[in-house]
Amino acid sequence: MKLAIKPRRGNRTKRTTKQRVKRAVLACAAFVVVVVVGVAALGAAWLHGYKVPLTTGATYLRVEKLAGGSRADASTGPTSPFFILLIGNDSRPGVGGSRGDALHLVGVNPKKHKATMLDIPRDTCWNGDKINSANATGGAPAQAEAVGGLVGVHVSYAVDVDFDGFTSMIDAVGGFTLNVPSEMHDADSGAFFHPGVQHMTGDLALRFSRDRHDFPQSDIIRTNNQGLVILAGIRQMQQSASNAAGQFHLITLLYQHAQLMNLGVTDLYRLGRLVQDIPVGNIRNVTIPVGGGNCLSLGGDAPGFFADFRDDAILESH
Amino acid sequence: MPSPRKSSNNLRSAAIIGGSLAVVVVLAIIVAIVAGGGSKAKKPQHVANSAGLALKIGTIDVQSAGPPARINSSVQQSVLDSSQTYVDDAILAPLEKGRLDQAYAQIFDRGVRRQATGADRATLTEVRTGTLKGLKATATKVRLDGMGDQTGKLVLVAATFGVDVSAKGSGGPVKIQRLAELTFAPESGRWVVTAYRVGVTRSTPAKTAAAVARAGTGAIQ
Repeated sequence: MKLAIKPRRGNRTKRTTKQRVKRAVLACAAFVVVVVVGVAALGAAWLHGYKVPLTTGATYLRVEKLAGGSRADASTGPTSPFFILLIGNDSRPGVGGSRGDALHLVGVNPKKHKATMLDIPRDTCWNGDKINSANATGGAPAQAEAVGGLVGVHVSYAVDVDFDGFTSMIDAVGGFTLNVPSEMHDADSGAFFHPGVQHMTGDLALRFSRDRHDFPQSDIIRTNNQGLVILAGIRQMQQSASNAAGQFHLITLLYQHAQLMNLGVTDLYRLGRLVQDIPVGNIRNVTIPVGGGNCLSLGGDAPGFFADFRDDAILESH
Repeated sequence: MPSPRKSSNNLRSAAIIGGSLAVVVVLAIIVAIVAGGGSKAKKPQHVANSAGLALKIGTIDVQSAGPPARINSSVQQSVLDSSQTYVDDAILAPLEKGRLDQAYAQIFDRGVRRQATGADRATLTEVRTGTLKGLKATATKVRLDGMGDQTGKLVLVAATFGVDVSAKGSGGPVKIQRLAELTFAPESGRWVVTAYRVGVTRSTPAKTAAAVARAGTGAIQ
């Protein structure tokens, strides 16, 4: 009996081992198939334009052609002055809301190859409230309406960026050179700079742009400093995109980092060429006249200042 | 053993067939030569200038806001042909004949045509230079940069190339150096120049003058 049972046990053991090997092989094969299919699916998704946040830096920057602004039309030529609102919102991990904490209205006059950037302090009063609250309630279109209402112009484009979008775009173009105007030692923003020319990464530029505690005029100087960052960014852009290949590269970057609303590649190319054609020396950086108070009133000269700006998008007599 | 008559018939038939074949081959060769060769017409060898300058494509680079884009051969050819038209009609024809050729205006889209034929004509063309003798012209290969939109569709192609011309003018040798960046976009099924950036330096024994013309910054409102 024992002799008869032994071979059976051996067969069973053999069969069990075979089955285990078979199962292991199948499991390995399944794993490989899953990995291959997964990678292929991701590749296909990427090829079809699906943006994986991990690889693209996600979307923290939004460029929007606003309603009411007529469509960019190649046939009409670069004639009319127009206005772009640049918004730096305070949205970041752990902080709710997205108020328009940095507001810069850029008037562009293509004929004169000149532009003026009005720096608008975030606490400027508009309709009984601080003007930056408009972004939190209605996004870029509402913020553009508020700033356009304050100055008396129609804003055609809005660029809305948060902290991550700001830093990732700057890093994507390799940073830029900035002449820091004064000493900065602010633990809150992390801005520690000596005056002078220095290279700014996205993170350093953000620290520089956020510092207000180092200045008696607080947000007024900070707003002006943000204007300096924008001008330095434009200068960098002009250097790195001096030909079609460079401009196409910038557009590609923008599509990786930005959400573009009602804007096509050709629109961006034309806008980029326009910026390219305006020397940085022809762009004025001016803070609007404001008075005092928690909700800043406009300064006495504001009506004449805005009239000078809105007639041809550039400040001439102010 | 074949009879002498049968053998003679075979020889005659062979001669007729061989002769006919030879005639067909000769006719085919003549037709091919007269027609100029069908395959040659497709190549970018057409030269409409006496300087014998034919542009050739060099590096091609394509970027995209979405899936990968490419510049297919028909777009390459279209852009190359228009670039050649620009060289022939705007640069070499005025130096040879003293006037612009008509096709010049047709390579631009409506947005920049007015500027190209108006304010920028003096920089974009050699119409003011006048006729020169002993024209010699060379060109760099044409670099093509393409841009795809969010769907991967090709929407812009920039052709960048340099052209150097040397010749004899009334006051001595003349040198003209040009760098052209012509950006093309599709319009009604054709690829036409929608933006340009062209620089030119003209040197004579008396002076050297440089100029740059740009257009295609786009209307926003």
